[in-house]
Amino acid sequence: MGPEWYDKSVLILGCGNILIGDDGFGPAVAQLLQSDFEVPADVCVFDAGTSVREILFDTVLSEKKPSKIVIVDAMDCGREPGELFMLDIDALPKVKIDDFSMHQIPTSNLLRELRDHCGIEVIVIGCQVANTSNSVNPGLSKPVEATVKTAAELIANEHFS
Amino acid sequence: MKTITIYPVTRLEGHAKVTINLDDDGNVADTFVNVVELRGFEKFCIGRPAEELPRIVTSICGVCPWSHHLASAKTNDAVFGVTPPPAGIKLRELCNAVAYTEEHILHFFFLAGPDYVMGPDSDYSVRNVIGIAQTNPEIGKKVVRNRHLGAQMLNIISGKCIHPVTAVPGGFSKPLTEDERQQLLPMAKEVLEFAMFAMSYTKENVFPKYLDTVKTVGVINTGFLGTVTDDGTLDLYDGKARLMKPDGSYEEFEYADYTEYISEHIEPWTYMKFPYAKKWGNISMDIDNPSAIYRTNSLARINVCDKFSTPLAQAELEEFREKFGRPCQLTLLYNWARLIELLYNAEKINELLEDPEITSKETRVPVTPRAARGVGSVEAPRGTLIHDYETDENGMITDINLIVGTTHNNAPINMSVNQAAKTLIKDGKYDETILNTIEMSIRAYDPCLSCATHKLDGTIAVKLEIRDSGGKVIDTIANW
Repeated sequence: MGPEWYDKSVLILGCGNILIGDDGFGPAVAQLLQSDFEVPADVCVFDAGTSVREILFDTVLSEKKPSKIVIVDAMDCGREPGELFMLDIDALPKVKIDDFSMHQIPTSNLLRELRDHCGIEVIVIGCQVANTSNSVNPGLSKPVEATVKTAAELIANEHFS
Repeated sequence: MKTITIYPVTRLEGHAKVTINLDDDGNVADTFVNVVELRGFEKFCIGRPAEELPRIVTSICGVCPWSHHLASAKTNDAVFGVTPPPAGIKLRELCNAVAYTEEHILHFFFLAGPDYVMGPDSDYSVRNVIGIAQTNPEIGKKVVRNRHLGAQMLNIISGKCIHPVTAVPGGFSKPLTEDERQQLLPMAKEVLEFAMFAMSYTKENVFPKYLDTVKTVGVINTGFLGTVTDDGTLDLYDGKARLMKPDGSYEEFEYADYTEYISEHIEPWTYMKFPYAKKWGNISMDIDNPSAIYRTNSLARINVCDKFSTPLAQAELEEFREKFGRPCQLTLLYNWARLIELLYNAEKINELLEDPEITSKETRVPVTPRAARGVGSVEAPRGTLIHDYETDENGMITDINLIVGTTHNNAPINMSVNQAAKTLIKDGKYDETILNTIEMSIRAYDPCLSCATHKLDGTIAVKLEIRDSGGKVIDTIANW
């Protein structure tokens, strides 16, 4: 028994802060998947906002776990704005980082531990942001907004089996 | 001069960066905790309808959305000049209490807890929630089970647990049905059982091992701010501000008058302001001679209140005061205070669900826009949260100020780090354990750091840099 996201075999998490420009990409993809696509019964699509680590930390300890977690997030990796890419979590720095705060998107170690210790397939889909900011400025840039539909279709094709 | 920088960085900007400057003898000269916070929110809100704010503010923070949601709804009540019906207030209180249990469980067992359960000198790679899951699997199961229960309860009461929308100007938009109350009752009992377990388990197995550390690390001498009812009982949803001096004397005020009692000091090296008690004189963060500093959050709340309204929490408060006095200045005991509050909230949930009025269908009153100023506050898990709005005759926001819990604690966090560093770093000698312990003194405050930007530069966890007097890096130590 628990919230919906613990009871499904595939968990798709749109991550980010909708107040901070392109950081709202993940939530926008989650919302589009919920509104314009037919989400299968064994899949949970969730707009996790800035709460994703709470969900993932609980997942680490939970007896019932999804078999697959798809993280959808805006990132700054020096690519072309709006470019969609899969992130290899093994390529992320192998450091034990930041347990000061729960606010941020999942740290690389948490993603690896979900995979290695919990047996969960972890997929990270990133979208290159056009800009980053510390200030409140809602709304996606044009290249990132144009990628929202592409990302949703990709996820539906690959994970809505 | 040498500079040590403790730099916790994930893929994001916007973390606390701790800089410790050593003098030529290798002792601490000064320290700085620099927190980058979300900027521009106030400006963004101006010109928007006031009633939209309870929904917008939940995006400020993914960890305490309920606190912002409820503070904003209360501020709207004040702006519109209405008082919600009793059931509307009780449903808000119920959500607040459930959210508190989720939050306090999360903080203790996921963030602060690993320091204690695993020990501050344990390998950083296991001193986290994964370590707890592997070494204490039964506790791990209980923790997640009760976090599930909290989320499920909020879903039943309000429809949404993460981005809530149900607290509205004038009350609560969704009455609780009897069927829903029946679903909630057994969950509430289970959460209470867990809170009792958490309290007794940590008192027996965790805190006794660290009492020496508790009595030395991060200890500073300050005043405290919290919220109480007219008879001095702790209240997390509503009441008067009680501002207690270090000697235990206090004065009380209405939150609408907070600007008469609280000023905000600015330092050039950080964007975050330093609130202080303006009637106590000028602010000084000198740990040997502090002035006008107060703290918020759990330890502050249990210091300022005379009592709890629920029996189990009251018994714990009495035991705590017997051991540590009032006011207690031992910073690491924020965690103990947090567990007492967990117990209180678990009791409060049960109490509210047994209240016949909780299922009344009268949960809100209508509101009409007007030009006014309103102040609303709640005790957020991380400290007193104050929202202050002004509107024009159409109910549009013309001015807004927010003081969040972590901001109240900005000066105390800096002081505790300074104290911890001075205690633990002598003659240039330090190691990872010492730096981890300094981090523990920050974590005790459960700081709510910026949840703003994403940047994939995640190369460093906690990095220690030693610089010579010319600024050249002569040594680097990191915790991996």
